[in-house]
Amino acid sequence: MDPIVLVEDLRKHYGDVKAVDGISFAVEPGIVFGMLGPNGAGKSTTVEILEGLRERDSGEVSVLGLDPGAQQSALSEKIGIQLQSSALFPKLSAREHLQMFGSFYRDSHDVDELLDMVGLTERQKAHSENLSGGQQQRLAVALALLSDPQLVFLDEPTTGLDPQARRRLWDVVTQMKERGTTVFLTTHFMDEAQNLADYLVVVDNGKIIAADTPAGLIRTNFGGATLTFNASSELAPNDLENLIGVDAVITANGQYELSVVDATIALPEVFGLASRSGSVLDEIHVHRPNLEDVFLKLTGRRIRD
Amino acid sequence: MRLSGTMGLLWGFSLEFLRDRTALFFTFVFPPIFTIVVGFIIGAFSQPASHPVGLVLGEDSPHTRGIVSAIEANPVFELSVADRPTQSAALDAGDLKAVLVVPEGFGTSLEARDRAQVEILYDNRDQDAVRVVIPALGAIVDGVDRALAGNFPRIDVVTTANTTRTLSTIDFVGPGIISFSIMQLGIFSAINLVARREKKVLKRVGATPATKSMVLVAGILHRVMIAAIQAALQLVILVVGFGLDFFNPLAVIGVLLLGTLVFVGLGFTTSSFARTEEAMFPIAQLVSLPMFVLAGVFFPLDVFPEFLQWFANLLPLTYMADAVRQLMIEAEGRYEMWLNLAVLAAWLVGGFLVAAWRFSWE
Repeated sequence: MDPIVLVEDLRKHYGDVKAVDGISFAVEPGIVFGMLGPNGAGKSTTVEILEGLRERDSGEVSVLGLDPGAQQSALSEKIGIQLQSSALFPKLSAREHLQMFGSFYRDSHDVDELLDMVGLTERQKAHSENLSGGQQQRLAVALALLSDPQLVFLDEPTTGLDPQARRRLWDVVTQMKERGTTVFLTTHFMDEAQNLADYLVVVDNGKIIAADTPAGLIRTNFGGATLTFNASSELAPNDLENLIGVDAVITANGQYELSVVDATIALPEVFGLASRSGSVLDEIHVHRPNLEDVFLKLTGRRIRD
Repeated sequence: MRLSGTMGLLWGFSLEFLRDRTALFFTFVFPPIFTIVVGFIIGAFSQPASHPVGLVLGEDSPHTRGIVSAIEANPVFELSVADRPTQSAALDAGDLKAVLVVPEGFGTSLEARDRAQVEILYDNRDQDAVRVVIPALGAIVDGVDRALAGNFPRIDVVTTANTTRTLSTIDFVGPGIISFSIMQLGIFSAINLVARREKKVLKRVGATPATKSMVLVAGILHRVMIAAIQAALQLVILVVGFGLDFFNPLAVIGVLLLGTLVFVGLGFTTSSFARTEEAMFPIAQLVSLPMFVLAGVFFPLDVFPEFLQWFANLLPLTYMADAVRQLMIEAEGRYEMWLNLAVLAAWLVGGFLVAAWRFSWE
C-alpha cells in the first residue's frame, strides 16, 4: 500500500533555531506511527506542518495525497487532530462539544458512539472545566474522531496524566487502530512509544536519529539483556565469559554485570557455575533494554534531562 | 462558509455566555442598574427649587400690575419681564419654563367689561412646565380674575406649546447611556475572544473545516443578540421609569444595530492587539475611556476645550450617540444625520477590514 504520509527533507526554523532540520519519513496506512523525542525536539512543529496549521520553510509533504500547506481546508475534512493542549470551551459539556464540532464537518460520527468509545457516556453532561485531565484529553481525542478520519494526529496525548488515565487513553488508541484508523502519535514517554507504536522515529534537535519498530530499535542497539547479581564468594570472570550465551562480564565489589544474548539460556548456566563454585547468588536482576537505553545510547542523554 | 457550522458556533458561544455568571451580570444586570443610578442622579440635580417664568407686558395698568404682584408673591416662580422676542428666545434656550403674555388693551377690555385674553407659551415636552408651571400660572390668573370680577370670570388663558423645546437632562443623557453601553459591550466582549485564542480553543476550531469568517459571523450575531436584550432593558427603564421620549423607534433600532456592528468590529480589532486576557483589560479601557468622557454622552461637548472637541470628532460613539439622540427625542443634533451615518459606516468598514486582516487562530 502507498504511504498515507510522505515527508521529504522537511525544514522549519524560528529565527536561528532549527526546529525541524531536514527530516524524511513515510507512514504506512493502518499503523500507529510514533514520533519519540524530548521536549523541543521538533515533534509538535512537524505534526502541525502535517496538519496544515503551520507553514514549512522547505521540503516535500504529502498527507492523504494532499499538500497541507496549500490544501488545508480539504485536508481538515479528512484528518482528525488533537492538539497538545486539550483546548476546550470551559463551559460546554462533552456532548455539546461533539455536537458543535460536528456542525463543522460535512458528515460527522454518531455522538453517543464516540462518547461510549472514549468512556465519557456518564460524564457527558459535565462542563469540560469540571472534567479531570484524562477525561478532557479523551474528549479531545473524541473530537479528533468526529469526521471518521482515515488519519488521526495525537500530539502528546498523555502528558500530565496519572498512570491510570494514561492506560485508559492507550486503550482508546488501540481501539482506533483496530478500527483501521492510522494514528500519528508524538510522545516523550518511552513506555508509551514501546506499548503503542508499530513503527517509531526517534527525533532529537530537529533530526531523526533512529527509525524502526520498537523491538527492532532495541535489537539493533543492544544484543540482548543485562544480568546483574551479587555472589557470596568470588566467581572467575573467565569462567563466566565461557558460559553459553554470555557476551561480556564486568565485575566490581562482588557485583557482576553480564551482557547476555538471552537471559533464559544464560541464567541456568550462571546458577550451575555458582553451585559448582560453592557460591550463593543474591540480588539477581534481569534488565531487558528499553527505548530509554536506546535514546541514552544514541544521544548520551536521558530523554527527560 | 457553511451555515450549519456558523450556527453551531453561535449556539456554542451563546451557551457558554449564558453559563458565565460574571458576563451575565455585566451585560444584563449592571447596565440597567447603572441606568437607574444615572437617572436618579440627574433627577436629583435637575429638580429646580423655583421655576423661571417670563412675563411680556403689552401695557402697564392696574390690572397687569395685579397679575405681576400675584406671580411675584408666589415663591415657586422667579419672574423676569422683557419683550416677547427676548422671552421667546429664553424659552427656546431652556432658561424659562413658560412665558406669560399679557397683550396690549388687556386693561381696557376689562374696564369695558369685555373678555380679555392672556397667553402662556411653554414647551409641551417639558414635564415641569406641563405638570407644575402651567396649572400654577393658570390658577394665579384665575385668582386675579375672580378678585376683579367676582363670579363672572372674563380672562381667557390660551396656552401655546412651543415646538422648538429644550432638552431635559435625561433626554440628553438617555440615548447616550444606551449608545455607551453598546460601545462597552462591543469592546469588552472581545476579552472572551482573547481568552479563547490564548487557551488555543480558537486554534482547535481552526483545525477543523470551520473558517475564520464563520467564527467572525457567529461572534457578530452572538453579540448583536446580547446588545438587543441589553438595549431593550435600558429603554424600558428610561422610557417607563424616567419619562425619556422615544420617537422614530425603527430608525433608532437601525442606528443602534449599526452602532453595535461598529463596536463589535472595533472590539475584534482591539482584541488582535492583546496576546493575553490580562493584557486585553487595559487595552479595552484605553479604547473605551476616551469615549466615556469625550463622546458627548454624559457631558455636552461644548464644555471641552477646542482640541478635545477636535479629538471627540474622531470618536465613533460621538456620532452614534448624536444620531440616536436626534432620532429618539426629535432634537437638533450636533451633526447632520447623513454625517453621523457616514462616519459610523466608515468606522464599520474600517473596523472589520482591520479585524479580518488581523484575525488569527493563535
